[in-house]
Amino acid sequence: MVAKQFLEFLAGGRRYACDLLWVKEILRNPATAPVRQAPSYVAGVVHLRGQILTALDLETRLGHPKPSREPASRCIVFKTLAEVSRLPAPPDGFDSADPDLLGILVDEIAEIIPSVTSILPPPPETLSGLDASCISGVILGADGLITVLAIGPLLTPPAANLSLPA
Amino acid sequence: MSAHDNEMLDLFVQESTEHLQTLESDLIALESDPSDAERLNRIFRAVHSIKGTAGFFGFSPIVNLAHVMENLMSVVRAGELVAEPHIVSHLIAGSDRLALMIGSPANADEIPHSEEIAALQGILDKGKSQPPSAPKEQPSAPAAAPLEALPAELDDFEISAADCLPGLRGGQNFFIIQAPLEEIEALGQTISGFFDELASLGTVLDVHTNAASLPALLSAASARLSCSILFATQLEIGILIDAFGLASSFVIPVPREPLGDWVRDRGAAGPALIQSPSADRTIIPTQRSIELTEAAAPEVTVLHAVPRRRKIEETVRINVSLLDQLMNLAGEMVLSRNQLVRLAEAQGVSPVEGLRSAVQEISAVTSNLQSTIMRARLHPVGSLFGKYTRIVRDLSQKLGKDIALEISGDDVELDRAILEGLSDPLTHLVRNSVDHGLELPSERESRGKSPRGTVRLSAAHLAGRVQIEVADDGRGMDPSKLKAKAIEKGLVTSEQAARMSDNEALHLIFAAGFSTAAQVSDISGRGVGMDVVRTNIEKLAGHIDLQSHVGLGTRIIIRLPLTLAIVPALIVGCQGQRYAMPQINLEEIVRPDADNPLRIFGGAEVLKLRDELLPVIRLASILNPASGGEIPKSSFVLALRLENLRFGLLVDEIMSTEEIVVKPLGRHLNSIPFYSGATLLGQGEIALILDPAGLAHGRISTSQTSLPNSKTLSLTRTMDARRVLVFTDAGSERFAAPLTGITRVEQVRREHIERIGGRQCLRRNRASTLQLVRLSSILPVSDPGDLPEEFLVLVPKEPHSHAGIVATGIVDSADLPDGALDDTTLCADGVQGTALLLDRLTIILDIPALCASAGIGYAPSPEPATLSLATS
Repeated sequence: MVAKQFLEFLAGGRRYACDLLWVKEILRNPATAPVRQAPSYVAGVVHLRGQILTALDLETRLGHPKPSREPASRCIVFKTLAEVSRLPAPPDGFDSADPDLLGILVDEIAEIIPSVTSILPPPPETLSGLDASCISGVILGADGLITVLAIGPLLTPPAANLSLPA
Repeated sequence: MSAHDNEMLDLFVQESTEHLQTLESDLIALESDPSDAERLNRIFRAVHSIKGTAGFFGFSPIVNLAHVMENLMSVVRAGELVAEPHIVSHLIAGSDRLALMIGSPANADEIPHSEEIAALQGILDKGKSQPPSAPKEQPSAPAAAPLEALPAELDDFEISAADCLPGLRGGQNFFIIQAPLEEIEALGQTISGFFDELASLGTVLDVHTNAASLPALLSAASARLSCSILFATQLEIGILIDAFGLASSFVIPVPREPLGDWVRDRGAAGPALIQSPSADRTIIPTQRSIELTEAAAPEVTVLHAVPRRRKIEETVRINVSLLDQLMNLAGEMVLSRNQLVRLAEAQGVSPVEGLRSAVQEISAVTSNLQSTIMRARLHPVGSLFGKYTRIVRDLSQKLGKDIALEISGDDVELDRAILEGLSDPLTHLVRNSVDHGLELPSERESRGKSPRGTVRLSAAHLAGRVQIEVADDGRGMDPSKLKAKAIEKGLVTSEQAARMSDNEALHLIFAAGFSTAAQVSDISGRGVGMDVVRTNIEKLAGHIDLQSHVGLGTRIIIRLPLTLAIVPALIVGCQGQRYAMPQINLEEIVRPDADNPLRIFGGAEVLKLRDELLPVIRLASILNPASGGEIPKSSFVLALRLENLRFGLLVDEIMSTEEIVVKPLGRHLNSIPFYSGATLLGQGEIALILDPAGLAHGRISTSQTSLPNSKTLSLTRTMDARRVLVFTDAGSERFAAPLTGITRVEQVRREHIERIGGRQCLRRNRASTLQLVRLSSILPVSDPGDLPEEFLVLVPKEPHSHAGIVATGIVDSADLPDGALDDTTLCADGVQGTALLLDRLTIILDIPALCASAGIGYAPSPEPATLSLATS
C-alpha cells in the first residue's frame, strides 16, 4: 500500500492530521460571518471567490467544549464531492464529501507529514464524549500523538441529537 | 466506460424527447391541414431519427414501432395516402407509446405496443391495396424519383427546390462530400472546424449522417460515423479537393443541368430563373461576402438556406451547474473590478496613463459578460406552450367542444426554473378555460358567437418582466354569482360582499376553498383551486390578475420575473449582521414611534397600521433569544405578506435596497428555517436571506386569530387597490398616488441632490440613483418654488423604482370610493383624474404615465445591483 501524506494542524492546543488528498486550499484569517440559530459546531459562513463556504469549528464538531479564545486563524477548505470523485484514487469516505464548499477552522497549520505507514487505533477511553466516527486513529509524531481525522464523517451533518443549536 | 454509455443514453433520451415534442405538435396540426408537405417531412424526419438512434442502442421495440410509423409516413408523404383524422389519431397513439418507451428505453418491451403496430400496419396494408385516393392534393408527389444523371446519393438529403435556387442562379457548382469522420479528424481538423471551413467557402445545403444530430455526432466521434454534405460553392472540384486535402473519391460532383431539371420538377422553381445561370455572375461577390460575415459567427450558422431544422442542432447542452459556476466567476470578477475601480479612484489624477479608461473598459466587459451568462439560463416559453396543443385537443374531443388554441410569443424567454414551476398552474388555467370558460358549440351559436371557441395563450415582454396570458372568449364570470358562492362558503359576510366592487368579487376565486364548478368534473374542479395557482405563481415571484366579462370571456394575466437567480431585496441590519428580505413579500415599512408604539395585545406585540392591528415579531429575539428587549432608535417594522397572512418584522435598521444573487446554503445550514439562502453584497460581505414563512411559523398564526379584522386579512390586498396616499408639494394642490404603486417614502435633504444633464438626481446607494420628478414641471399646477431644505420622495414600485416623486408633506392615506373619480375636469398626461378626498379636491396620479412624461423609461433588464459599478 502506498503511504499517504497527511496535513498536520493544531486546534485548541491539540494536534490533528488529515489525509492531504482531501485538502483543497488553506485560507489565512478568514472573515467568518456568524449564522444565528445554526448548529453549535458551525462557526459561520465565509466568502470565498464568489461562493459561500460553510466553516465548521473543528473542536466543537468533535465534541470538545466550545472554547472561548481568539478567532481561529486558518480555514482548511476541503474538496467538494465533485472534486474528490474526480481523483484517480479518492480518499477514504469520499462519497460523504459535501456537494458545496466546506471548511474547518483551526489555529495553526503545522506541516505535511510525508509518509505514514502505521495508524494506531485510538484508545477508547480518550474518546468519551467525542464523536468517535470522526476519528480514524493516532499517529506517533515527533512531538507527541496526533489525532487522525476521518474527513468524510467529519463533514457529514451529525445526527439530530448532536446538532442542537447552542 | 459505463459512464460514457450512460451519457450517450441520456443524450438519446433527450433528443428523442425533443423529436417527440415536435412530432406531437406537427401531428396535431396535420389534422387541420393534411397536405402540408413541409410538416409531413418534419414528421417523417422525427420518426426516422428516433428509429435510427434507437437502433444504434439496440432498443428493438422502439425501432419496430417507429419503423411502422415511418413506413406509414413515407406513404403519406409520397401522396399515396391522405392523412385522414383516424390515421393521425393512430399516429398520435403511436407517438404516445414511443414517449413511454423512450422514458425507460431499457424496459421498452414491457410497454404494450403491439396494438398500435397492428393498427398502423392495417392502415398501411389497406392503403397500399387501394389506388392513391386524392391525387389532386399532392403538388410535388410524382417528382420524387431523381433524374438519371444525378448521383443516387442525392436521395439522402432533405432539400427543397428553394434551397438550391440561389446556388443555381449564382452559377455555383454542387458537390456531395462524403467523408468518414475519422478521415476528417485524420486531417487534423475538428468536425466543427471542418464545417466552419466549408461554410467559409460556400453554402452547406444539407448534412446527412447516421447519427441523429450534431451533439451526438461530436460525442460519438470515435464511432464509425460518416457524413455526407451537400455543398454549393464557386470553387472547381480540383481546388475544393486541394483546399481540404480530401481524397477525390470523397467528393462527388452533382451536374448542374439535371439538378436544375430536378429542382424544376419539384415545382417551386420558376424555369426562367434557372435557364441563364452564368448571366448572373456579377452578383457573386456580394453573395460571398454575406456568407463570409455569417461564417464569422461562432456557430455553424451559414446554413441559412435550410431555415428551421438546423437551428436545433446548433445548440450545445450545458449542465446548469456549470452555468451557475460561470455566474459565480462572473460575480467574483465584478467584485474584483469594483476594488480596482476604488483603487483607480484613490489615485486621483491618475499617475498611470490610461488606467482609468482601461478600468472602464473592464467594467463594461464584465457587466456584459454577466448579463450574457444570465441570458444563457433562459429558455423560450414555446417549449412549455407546445404541450397545451395536445391538452386542448384531447379535452375538446372529450367535451364535444370545438376549440382553437392560439399561441403567440412562444420565443419569449424565461428562466428554466420558472418555466418548470409554471407548467402546473398554466395547465390548470388552460383546463379551466376549456372546461368552464368555453360553452358548447350549440350554446355559443344561440348567443350569436362563432361555434368555435378560442383559447389564447400568449407571452410578451413587459417592462422588464414577462407577461403570460390565458384568455378565452367563453361565458365569463359573473361577479354576483361569485359573491353568492363566497357567502355560502363562509369566506365573506354578506355585508362585505355588498361593499365589494366587481373586480374584487372576481378576485374571490383566488381565496382558499373556492371553486365555481357547479359539479365536479373529471377535468377540473378536483380540489386544486385557483388559490393553489396563485400560490404557485407567487412562489415564482410572480403576480396573477384576472379580467372577466359576462358573455365575453375571461383573461388571466400572469407577470413573472425573467429569472429567479436575481431578486430585488431590502437589506436590513440586526445585531451587527446584515440580512436580505425579498421585496416580493414586503408590503411597506413602518417606523414605530412615540405616537404609535408597539403595543401588547393578547400576549403578542402589535402595531397599529391605519385601521388594523399588525402582529409584530422581532428578528433579534428570533435569531438570538438571549437578546434583551431594548429596541434601538433606528428600528423599523417591515410589513410582510405571505399568502393570506400579514405580519410585521421588527429589524434594527434599514440599509439599502439591492438586486441580489441568491446562493444556496450548504447542507449544515439549510435546515435552519429562518434563511432561504445567502448573498454577497457589493463589498463581498455575506448577507443571509430571510425566509418570512420560516420566521412567522409558530409565532404568528396564534396571535393573528385573536386580532380583530383578521377575517378580512385575505382580502385587504384587493381592497388596497383603491387606497391612495394623499400628499402635497408646497403648492395649494393636493395629490394622491395609488398605494399599490408606491414602494416607500424617503426623507431627503436638499444638499444630497446632484444635477446630471439638467435632471435632479439623488444618489441612493452605490448601485442606483433616483431621478426626481417634480409634479409642477409636468402637470398644470401652481409653481411650488425651490426645493425646501428637507423634503420627501415617493418611490414607485418596479419598474419605475428609479423615479422619485417630490412631496413636501404627507396628508394621509384614504380610500378612493367607486365612482368618485372624475376623469373629465382635469385631463393631463400622468393624471387619472380628480376626486374629492378628505374634503378636498385631489389630483389622482397615474404613476406609469407620469414617469413616461417625465422621460423616465422602464428600468433596464435586471442587473444585480450588488454587482454594478459605483458611478463617479
